[in-house]
Amino acid sequence: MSAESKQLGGKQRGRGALWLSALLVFGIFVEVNRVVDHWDLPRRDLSEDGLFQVSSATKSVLGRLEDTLAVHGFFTNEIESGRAAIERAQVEGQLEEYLALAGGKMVLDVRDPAVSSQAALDAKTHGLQARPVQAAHGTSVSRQMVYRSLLLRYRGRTERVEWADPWSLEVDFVAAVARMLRDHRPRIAWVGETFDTDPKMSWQLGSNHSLRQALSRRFDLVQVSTASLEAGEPVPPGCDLVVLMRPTKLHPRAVFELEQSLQRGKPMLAFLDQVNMHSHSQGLRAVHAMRGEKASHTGLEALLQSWGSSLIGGHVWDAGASGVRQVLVSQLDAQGQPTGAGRLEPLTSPGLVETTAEGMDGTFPPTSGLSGITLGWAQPFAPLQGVSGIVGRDVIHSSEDSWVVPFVETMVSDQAIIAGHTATLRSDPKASQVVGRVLTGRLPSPFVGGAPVPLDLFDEEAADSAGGEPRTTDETVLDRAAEVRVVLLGDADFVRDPDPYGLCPSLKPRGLLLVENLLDWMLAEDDLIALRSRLPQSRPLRDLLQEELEREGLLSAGLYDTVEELTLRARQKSAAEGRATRARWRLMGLPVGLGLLLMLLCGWAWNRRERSHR
Amino acid sequence: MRQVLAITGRELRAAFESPVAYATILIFVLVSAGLFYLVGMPIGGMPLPSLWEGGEASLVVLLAWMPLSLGLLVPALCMGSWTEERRAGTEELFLTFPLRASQLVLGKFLAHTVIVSLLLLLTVLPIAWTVEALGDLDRGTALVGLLGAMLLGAAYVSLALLVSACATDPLVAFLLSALLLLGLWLVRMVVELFPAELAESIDGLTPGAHFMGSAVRGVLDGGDLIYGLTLICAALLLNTWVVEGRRER
Repeated sequence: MSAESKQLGGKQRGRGALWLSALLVFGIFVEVNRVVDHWDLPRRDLSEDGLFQVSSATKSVLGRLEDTLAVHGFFTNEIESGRAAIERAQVEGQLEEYLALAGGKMVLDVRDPAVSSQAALDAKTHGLQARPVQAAHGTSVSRQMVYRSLLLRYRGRTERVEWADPWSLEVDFVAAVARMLRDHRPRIAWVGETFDTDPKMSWQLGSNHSLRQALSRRFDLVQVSTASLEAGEPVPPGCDLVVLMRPTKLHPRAVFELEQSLQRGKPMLAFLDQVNMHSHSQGLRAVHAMRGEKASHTGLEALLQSWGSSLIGGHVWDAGASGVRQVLVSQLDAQGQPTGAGRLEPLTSPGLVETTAEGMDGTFPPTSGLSGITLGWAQPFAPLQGVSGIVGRDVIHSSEDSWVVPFVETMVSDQAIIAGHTATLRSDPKASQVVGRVLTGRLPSPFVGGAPVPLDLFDEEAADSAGGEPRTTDETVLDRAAEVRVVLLGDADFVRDPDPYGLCPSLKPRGLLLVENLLDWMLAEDDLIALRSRLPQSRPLRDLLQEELEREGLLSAGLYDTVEELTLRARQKSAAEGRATRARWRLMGLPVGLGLLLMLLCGWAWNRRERSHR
Repeated sequence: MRQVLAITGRELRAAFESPVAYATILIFVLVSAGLFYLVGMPIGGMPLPSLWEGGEASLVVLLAWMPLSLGLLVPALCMGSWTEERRAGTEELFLTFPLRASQLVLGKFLAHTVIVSLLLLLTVLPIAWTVEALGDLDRGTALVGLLGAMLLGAAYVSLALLVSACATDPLVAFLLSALLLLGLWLVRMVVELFPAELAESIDGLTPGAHFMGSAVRGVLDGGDLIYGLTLICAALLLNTWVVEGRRER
């Protein structure tokens, strides 16, 4: 064998050994990372929102476990979709984290209903179902029914997490555990219309099917009719709190029964809204206007006054944080005649208050960080009057650029008319308006002089005395009897059922979050509020154009009077736009340019020094 | 260590004596800023809008581009690291020095990591300054994102240097390492196409998954740190063996 061929053989052997070594190193790398994946390594979320680490609320809830919490996972093992497999692994990772946090008070068993008929039966018994998951195979797509549900058992009680999603698992899981830790499932006395009509139609009346359905997952809802309260029946004693939805012309006896429920320590969440919009062929029209009334009174006016929390007659016009709704625009033919067809267009309406972060009390846990809720024709509260024993707190405000306008009757759908109205209002002083208030303390009863007589439709004596002094009974009236929490909201539209066209504000996830937070605050479930409040904080950029327009005084200017004025404004606007564009480029270019210039200067100086050394 | 630093110094001097490094940094910074401010991140399952379009004071778009942009930049910076030495004949001279192969490899790795880190600082800091002036930037997230990008850059450098040590020509080294790094980025995009049992393992082995899964969100994760360090160690170890093998020949 020649020296050359010997060298070649040596080279090939060396290359082979290198490949083997490379494979070995890769194998070790994979194995190390596979093992490390199962270790409980330190993890620290340094972001300000802190959304990516287990919250203190979760630790607190799991720390309250006294007996063993059994968590049964129903997970499909053989998943075709790679994405779904990764999500399942993430869920399993999170469950292992909770297992470690529970300190031996939690056991986890995972079964696959796809291969175990007993697991399939158990899942079915508890109403847990597989969901369709799509998987891509080259150019084709297949659908597989996948199980990813949890069944939780604690002290004979069960809760379900119907679909364990890695993004919402913490909230769903811990909320379920917190529910089981309570003595009983909370009961809400729901006072208000239920609209037992087709939900597809009842949205027009301002129904709340969606809200009730969402709340019924956590609470037992007990319907309490206003007729029963008027007849003198108290709020059912087994209820933990009262939700009063859009009260209209409540009889004094009904008000008395609600007030006495508060005196017995049952908190109340009241959605006070005197403007209920009804959709008809011409657009939106207020129900009170259709009845020929100025506004639909709640009947609670005297009660609110006794708490120092009266409503102002009118609704908020918020030009600083206006919401958007859809309007139906008729299509016209070539002759300008309506064709009978229409299309939906977005309309920015100051009658809708889009809550901002500044408008929500950041120090009050239920509202902290909850911006982006659209209130419709919200009614503001008068400044809080001091009443001994009551601590009031204004928690939801409109923007500083707001006014109170008379109750709306028909919604205007023309942006120019709305802009004109705003311009006219600018001659009046503007101010932030209170649309949400909470009260705590021992409330004084306005009924200490006597309880109103229950309504009896067949009582002729009562009918004769109508308009005179209301008759009272000598039954016992509770006054400042218990410490209680009351939430008063000047709007009910943000929780009405979604209409298919988006003509009115309706229930959105953040609106539901606010309601759930408020209910939990009333039930003192602070952990759940803290957990649910873990929302990414909104970090909007400065609006450079807005700043320039403001500097020119164009935002606060009234309507123009002359053509010269109009031309001047157009010129000022164009100049402002130019300045905003230049500011934008300056902000983009200056730091980057300075950084690069610094690097080039340093490089040049260094090269010069190096050359001189040589 | 002194020898390692001497190699690092030599590599850095060589890089900053030529205008190529300056031009590369200039182009990278300007392109990254352009993508961040004006284009956004249109690739992937969840497209992200540009800064002005999204109106949110966040660096997530800039950081989301990093696995892709570093996947092109790092191969360009490292392609000549070993191949040019070989072509110029300085490799043989190097190998006769009383230096261990590991010292040579570590010296080159540190030099290129310093360049990439400098480049990332020059890209991220001015943009963070602008965003901070325009809104309330989450500084913690930005800082962790920058550190994560530096670790990602270091991991990419170690892989690109390994490819450069194995390749015969700078162009081949560039193409192979770009293919490898972009392939690692692309794998995450098409993880859906893999069988489920493989998808999880494959996703966990890509640097992008570790970077995007935690550092971009402001999370310092021990597991991701171990992943990055083991990847760098594995690549540097193999690189050392390749150089050692060449010395023996």
